[in-house]
Amino acid sequence: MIVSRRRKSALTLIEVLIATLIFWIWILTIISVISKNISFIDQIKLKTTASFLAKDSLELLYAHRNTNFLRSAPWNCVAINSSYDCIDYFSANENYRISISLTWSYQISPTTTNFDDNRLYFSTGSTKALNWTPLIDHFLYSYDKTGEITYFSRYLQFQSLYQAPTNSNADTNKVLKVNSVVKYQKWALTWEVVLESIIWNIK
Amino acid sequence: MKKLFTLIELLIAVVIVAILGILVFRIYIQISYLSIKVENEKNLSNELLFLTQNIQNITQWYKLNFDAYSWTLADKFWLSPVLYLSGNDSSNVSIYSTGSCSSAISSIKTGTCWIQMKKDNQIIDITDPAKTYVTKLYFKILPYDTNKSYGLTFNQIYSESFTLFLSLYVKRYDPLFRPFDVNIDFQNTFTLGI
Repeated sequence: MIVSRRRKSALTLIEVLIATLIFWIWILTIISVISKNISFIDQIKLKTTASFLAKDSLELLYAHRNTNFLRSAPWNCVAINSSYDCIDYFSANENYRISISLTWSYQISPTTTNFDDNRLYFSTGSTKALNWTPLIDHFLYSYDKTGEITYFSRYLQFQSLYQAPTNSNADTNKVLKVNSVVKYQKWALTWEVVLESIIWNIK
Repeated sequence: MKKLFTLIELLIAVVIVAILGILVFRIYIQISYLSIKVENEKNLSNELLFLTQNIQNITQWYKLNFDAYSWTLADKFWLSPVLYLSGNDSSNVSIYSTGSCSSAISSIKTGTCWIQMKKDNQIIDITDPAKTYVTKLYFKILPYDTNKSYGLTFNQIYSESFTLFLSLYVKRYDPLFRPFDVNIDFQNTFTLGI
């Protein structure tokens, strides 16, 4: 009896490895393209919110400056005591944070550029006692740490614009450049939006 | 003798190609959804920009109409669902949400809720009911002095301003298709002239 013994050719190890490598390169490329798209979409939303938060901060600063006029305080006064005496002034190369809160009208204070020092929180559930329909369960970005943590951090950065002549006692803080800085942090990455403006004594 | 593929080898190759085809198709669908979501995000940003621009324009010519507010506003953290403004020429403006407004996600799909401005007897839509759905609209009125005595404390804003709190959803929201879940929680302060 004749037995046909045909040798079966198998794949070599190197062929299998190359095929596996090509397959994973293809899969990883597709995944990276999708993840880039997802982060791009998330960026649009975060950047829109950050831009409006930066504008909100500047508007609050103008309201603060106007408030100083109305209560006869110096225009660049940061804080007054209960006797309405100014105890701090805006000055160049310093940072401040400003926000309204639910119960107090607003708060303004010196700060650092550190992300966590200026992190914004979302008020949660504070208005349920009002029995409104619909209930406001998430609103008001503020520095109140009892709220829900957000991706955003916000502060105002002051710079001097006015150059006083040499040997002059002129106030170099007459006109100040203000940068409203909003940083946002997600997936261990940090981005920022900066709105530039100026503030001066309008009276 | 010429070596041929066996049936089992051919079947395995067909299965692998089919799996890869399905993967590619799913990725294509996801990318299509993402492009729709980008479009929705863009529309939402445009609506917000249009809304804030309109309100900004109005605040240049009007003052807060404190007389139109209930005296109990202080008990509600100075938050009102309606913004009342009045001009030097005795004209009045109010901004409010209208339609079948609800914060329930289901109503975003079926109902409409948009922002209107009423100037004397004219009514103007300032958000498009076909494009967006408003789930939250509140104005924090500053300063609101209940006794009209202007006895505000030193930590309160004296100049007229208000903060707008708004939650806006894209009208094409559909809970079954996550890419359409496009919304924004918006907060912006507007300062009126002194």
